[in-house]
Amino acid sequence: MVTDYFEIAALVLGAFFMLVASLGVVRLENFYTRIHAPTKAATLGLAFLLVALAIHLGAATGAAKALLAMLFVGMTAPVGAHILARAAYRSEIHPMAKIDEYSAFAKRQNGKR
Amino acid sequence: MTLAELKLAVLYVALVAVALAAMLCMFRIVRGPSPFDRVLAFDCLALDLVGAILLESILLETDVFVDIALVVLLLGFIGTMSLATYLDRLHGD
Repeated sequence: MVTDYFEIAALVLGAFFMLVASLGVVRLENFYTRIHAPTKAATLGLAFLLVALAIHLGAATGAAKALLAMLFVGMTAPVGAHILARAAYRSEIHPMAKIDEYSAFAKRQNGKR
Repeated sequence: MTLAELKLAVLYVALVAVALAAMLCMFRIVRGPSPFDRVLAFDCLALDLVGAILLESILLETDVFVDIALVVLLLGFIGTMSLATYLDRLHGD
């Protein structure tokens, strides 16, 4: 069956992207580089695994739940990463950036309070 | 090798890969120099757990585990948010 091949491809891609995300969490050398890895790669890997599940179950309920989970992880992962990076910046973990446009804004915000 | 056997083998290999990914996240939780690294690795670990639940759901041919995956996803997000907010209040200002 053709759908079986699609499912196998989605499984392989999903597992690969999840492994790459965790590898990035371990191997990258800076907090702001490390936060890149799970927010993009793990989300993509989870989306591929959900596609594999939706293909496998086929029925309307399973596919709908998988779509719901995909929507949810697509909404929450960027928000969580943003909050975490903002907290890290405000806690004096400095990025290795040549141009830091956020620093002036953060200083203004601190002065206002 | 038939197609069903190939699919089963791919499922087991994917499970091993996701378990390896979870172990790498645990390494970063233990090692992480700052608490933010630990929270980041916790977030990644929750996603790996959801991936393992989905693979197990395909392996057992059932769709009841998708609800559990949704709940674990939600708990991981709430955990990450609350830990990040706590660290922001703790170190910030």
